Amino acid sequence: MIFNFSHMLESQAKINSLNIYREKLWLSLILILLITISTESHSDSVPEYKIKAAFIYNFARFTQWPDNNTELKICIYGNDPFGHYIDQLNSKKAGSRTIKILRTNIIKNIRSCHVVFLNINSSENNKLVKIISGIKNTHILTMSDTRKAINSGVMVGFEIIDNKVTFEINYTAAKSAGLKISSKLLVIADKVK
Amino acid sequence: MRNNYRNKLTPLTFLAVSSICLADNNTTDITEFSLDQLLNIEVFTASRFNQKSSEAPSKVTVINADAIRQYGYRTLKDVLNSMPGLYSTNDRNYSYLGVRGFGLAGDYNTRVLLLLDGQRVNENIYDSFGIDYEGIVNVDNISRVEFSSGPGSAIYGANAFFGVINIITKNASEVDGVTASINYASENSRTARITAANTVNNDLEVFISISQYKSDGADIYFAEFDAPDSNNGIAEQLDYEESNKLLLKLNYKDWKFETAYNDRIKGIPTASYDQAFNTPPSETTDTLGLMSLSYKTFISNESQIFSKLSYANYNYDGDFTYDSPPITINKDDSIGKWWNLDLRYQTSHIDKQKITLGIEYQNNYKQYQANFDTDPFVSYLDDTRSSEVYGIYIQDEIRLSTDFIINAGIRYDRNKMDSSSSNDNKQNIVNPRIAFIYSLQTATTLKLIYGTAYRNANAYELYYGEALDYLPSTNLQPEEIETYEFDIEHYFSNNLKLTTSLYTNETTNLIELNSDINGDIYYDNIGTVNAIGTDLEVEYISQSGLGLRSSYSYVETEIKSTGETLSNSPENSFKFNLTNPIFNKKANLGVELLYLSERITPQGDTVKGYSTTNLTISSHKLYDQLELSASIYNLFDKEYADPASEEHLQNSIIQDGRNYRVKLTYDF
Repeated sequence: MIFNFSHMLESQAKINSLNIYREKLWLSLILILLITISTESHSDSVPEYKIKAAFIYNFARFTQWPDNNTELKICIYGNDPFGHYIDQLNSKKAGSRTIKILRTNIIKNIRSCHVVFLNINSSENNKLVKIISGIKNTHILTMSDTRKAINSGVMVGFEIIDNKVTFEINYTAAKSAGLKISSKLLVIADKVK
Repeated sequence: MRNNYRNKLTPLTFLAVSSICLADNNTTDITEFSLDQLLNIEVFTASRFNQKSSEAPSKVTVINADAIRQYGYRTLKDVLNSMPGLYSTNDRNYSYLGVRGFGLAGDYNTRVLLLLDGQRVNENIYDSFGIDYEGIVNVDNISRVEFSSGPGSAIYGANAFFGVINIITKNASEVDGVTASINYASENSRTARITAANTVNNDLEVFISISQYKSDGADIYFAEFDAPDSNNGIAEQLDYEESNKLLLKLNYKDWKFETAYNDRIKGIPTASYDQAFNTPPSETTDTLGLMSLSYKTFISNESQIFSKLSYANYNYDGDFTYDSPPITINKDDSIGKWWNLDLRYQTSHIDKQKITLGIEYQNNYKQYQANFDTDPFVSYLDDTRSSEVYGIYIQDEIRLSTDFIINAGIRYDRNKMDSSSSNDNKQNIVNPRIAFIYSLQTATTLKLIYGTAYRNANAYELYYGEALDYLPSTNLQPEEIETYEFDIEHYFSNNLKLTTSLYTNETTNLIELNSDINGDIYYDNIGTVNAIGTDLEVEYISQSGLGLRSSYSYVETEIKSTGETLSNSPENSFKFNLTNPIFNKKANLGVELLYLSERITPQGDTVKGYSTTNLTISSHKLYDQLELSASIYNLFDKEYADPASEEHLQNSIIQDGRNYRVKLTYDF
């Protein structure tokens, strides 16, 4: 038994050195792959939320609100997907108003906003409906990340189609909130309801 | 080959040219884009990476249904094996999960908590759950699997020791209609599944799935039994397996009803527990049924309540064959029944804070274990117990600034260990966790986490001693763990993500099988184990559909009293997953490489390190409805073995060589 075992160990050792060779081969292959990939990644396309932030800026510029506030508050409700991209808008001018960025998880805080981006998971549709009904009779331009949100009363619903940012506008909802969205935006919308 | 070369050239030259203008777009101030430009810029969406994981008070790894399809994962075990720091061990009866160097052979996944859509799956006899075909759910019904590494007892209570696995099953809209799937694999293994789902009037969602798996299994050679009177070491027709599964979900507005059922029969070819070799019937049958009703609603704009009432029933039936002589069947039975109430209140009423307050009660009203010979009838164990757990917990996520979050939680558990006895053994345990989460420029997130967890000795460890001459172990204390972890998550770009974690933990009162000088086996609080390690993971997703996930883990474990490394603890592990569209994006190639370094067996030997390679080609929808996939597992036919626990004569158990699977899925 003992002899057999040591013999097994010896042959096992041979197999092992072979295995180590094979592992090295694999590792070098993977390294090459990683290098190829990392060089490729320099030519990335633009982050989704950078473009969405740019669209929000344009909505701020090309929408008329009924109030005369000198400040234009853009609020992000829920987890912030924009990060520093949206911060670039802070203190920028939209017409005569100065943009101010606000992040909040509290619904009553959004009542003073001009634009609110509702980052609500599509599975939490009833939450979305509750928020929309909670801010009735205010002049807030509501936005969300899905076109589906339009059906819940959101005014601008973004959607990525063919790797490009598109949006649908719920014109009826905007109009009843006393907002005037410029035709510049209406013509480039994928759909106007 | 030549064709490939040409195909590679084109995108490269294209990229070289386009990178100039793209780089421009990436640095442009967002206020300078014209509307026309905005409409035409191609974007990359990072949402395929799990965003919420950045703010979680632990490191979260997510694998979704796409990966399950692309890599040909057969069971939850395959999914978990591809996650950093996780590995599995199989003794041809059950599969066990190892986490960050802890995978003591013979424990039954008691130190990880498994949740199925939020419901606790670990049963109440062994605290175990299945990860292979003995698992509760068919892998094709899974939408995603989330693994939160590190202690989670501050929220989840017992067993959330090394991590929490949450299986999120597909919802009705992900299936929408009827899907039938069949597959055929090596050793005459076949699976059939039918899933049907529908949404009625926007309010009612119905999801139902049934599946059956059968495998003949191979004849397996065990050198330890190589003698003429034991069939020259070959266990014939004893590696068979059969399992049936059901998943039913009904959602109506804020209400959810879910039931999951699984039974599995597995032959035992190893002659574990000193059984007669190659002598049927040697098999185990495990049956688990779960049922839950939950209700979730917003009570105000900022607050929601969540409640869940669940019931579960677990049955284990083992037939063990002994040549006394004559051939005697020894039966090992257990029945576990329990119900659980979970109430949670979550509010963001206070500015910049998200508070979760919860209470949980579990009544293990039946914990029955028996062991007896059938003919002639001799009873060795007939033990019925019951126990209760009361838990209360609070967690507060405080957002000090946009960049800085503190997540603190604490849970108090009162365990009434044996309600049936007058001996009032109660254990009170407090588990805190605190995490500091700091994000730099959204591209980098730093996390510093301190966490604790516990698990109680289970009914098996406490009361099984009577049977099979195990020594009693009624004085077992709960195991406890304390962990410090530092994580960095960094996005080099929107499609290249690096995650690193450094951790150190100390497990005290570890419950492990021990044997005294007479060779008698018993459970014991062996002492203290320290571990220090790191996980490193890179994820890359390109626009063209190329996906890459690779991780390296290093862990050192040390039993404090002896300075020895834990058994079944690989120091190094490496994982590599690559998926890429092929045949003009009509199909997908998935390559997986898994490497584990050598492991010590409980009997003091070592099993060698090994790497396996798996290959899957899966078609996208052909003719709109048909999906085909073909896989080769262990492509290079690598011979490897897993350490075997003390109840085996074998030091290690040989694993499968090269094997195949073809699969056909049709959407009606």
